[in-house]
Amino acid sequence: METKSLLPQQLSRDISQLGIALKDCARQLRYAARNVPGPMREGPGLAHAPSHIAPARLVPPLFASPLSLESVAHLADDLLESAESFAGHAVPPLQDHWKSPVPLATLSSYLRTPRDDTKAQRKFSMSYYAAAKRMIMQCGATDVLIFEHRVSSALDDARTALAVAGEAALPPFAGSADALTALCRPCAQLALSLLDQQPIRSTRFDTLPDVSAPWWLVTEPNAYMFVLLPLASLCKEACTNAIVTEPDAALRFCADVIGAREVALRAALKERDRIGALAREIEHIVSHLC
Amino acid sequence: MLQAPRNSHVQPLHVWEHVQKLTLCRQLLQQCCDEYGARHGIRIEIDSRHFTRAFFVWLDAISHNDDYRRRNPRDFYQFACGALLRELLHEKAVHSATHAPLQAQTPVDVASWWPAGYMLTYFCIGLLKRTLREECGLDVEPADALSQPEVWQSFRENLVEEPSLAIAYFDKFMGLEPNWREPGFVANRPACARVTRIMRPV
Repeated sequence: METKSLLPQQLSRDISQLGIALKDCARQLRYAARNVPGPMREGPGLAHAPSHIAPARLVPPLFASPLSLESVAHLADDLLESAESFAGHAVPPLQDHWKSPVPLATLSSYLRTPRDDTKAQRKFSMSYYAAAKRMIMQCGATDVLIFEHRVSSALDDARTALAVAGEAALPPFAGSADALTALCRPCAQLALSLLDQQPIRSTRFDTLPDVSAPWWLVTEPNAYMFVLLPLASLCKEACTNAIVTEPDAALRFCADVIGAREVALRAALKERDRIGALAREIEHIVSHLC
Repeated sequence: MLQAPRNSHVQPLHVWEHVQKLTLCRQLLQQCCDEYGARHGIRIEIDSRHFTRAFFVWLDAISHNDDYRRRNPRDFYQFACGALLRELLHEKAVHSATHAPLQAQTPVDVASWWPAGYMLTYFCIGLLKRTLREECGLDVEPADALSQPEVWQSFRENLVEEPSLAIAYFDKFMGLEPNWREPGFVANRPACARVTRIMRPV
């Protein structure tokens, strides 16, 4: 069975092994420091240090020479704590970022991300994962399963396809109609790459959704969501001042537009030249938004 | 007394270009709703989803008939505003947020009797007047039919059966000869037929 996301399970296994090893090491160190007799540190000025005021946590180890072994134990304690802390932070948190509104970045910023910029890539997949899940849940679903790594792969696919088509260099968007037209094809390509990956594996609606859930979303969640999200990213670029900035409201606005153009969009997705047809439809939509 | 809501402070340079943009068209309509509320004390709200659907259906309708714009711009804009009224009414793009009292059978006060239809009709009339002024240099005024309650009653009743009749009633309100049979077809408009006859070589 395919994992929900490659990152958490594989990494967490490695990290927990690392944590165990570090803990083991620190325990051995602590045991040795407390139980194995060793030579006391000798040095000028340190021999006079009174032994009864030597709690190692209060006195730096170098000045607490008589308790050097104890200080090693404290060092081991610190090491233990650090190891646990690092391990705790390294384990990816639960993917519940969809519970807050998800602001999307502009389309260009996603597509311009260098391939080796894993942080930016992760930001893209996380945003689209969370935005899709949030929207579907808000439409009345009780459960949604999305493979985030497929979202991430789709961005790679889109960049590859654009590079092959000689469209890798995105024009700077300067508000002109030509620049907008030039962005419609990359937008369509990203939508199609996402669609081909089918990142949404299942949605569950316990009760029949009411009007808040478009039927297209219920029947074809991948098509609906992954045409919507790239369009929302493009709108953020093309209609900076005309569309509401609140993330949920912006997505609802785009959802209304998608709903209004559903027939045309679905027809475009069935065309022989899908990308051309979808790009033309996106251009038609965006040119009449603001 | 029927009075058009004043929307004089909404003065984009080319209203025809603006109205073909979703967000700007909505702004114009929202201003009309606000003015209507201030004037008549009836709050009208826009349903975003329905408005968006109406807008794009309307865009398809006017782009489908764009060649008529070159042949007869005056009548094209008349048809386009009538088509906008049809879509806004058909999709229920606006609704009265104020709880309406038990509706009277006949319109004594049209603004209260049918707030959505009344407001949208005036919105489209205002739009047409400004479009014709800017695009064709024409000043037009509504006809007497606009102040006749029986016409409004007929409009509302017939609309239930055939949404495209909104175009015909809009023509009537503007003093043009309506095409009652197929109001949604540009080719069957009386003005279109006249233009075609003129252009046909003898």
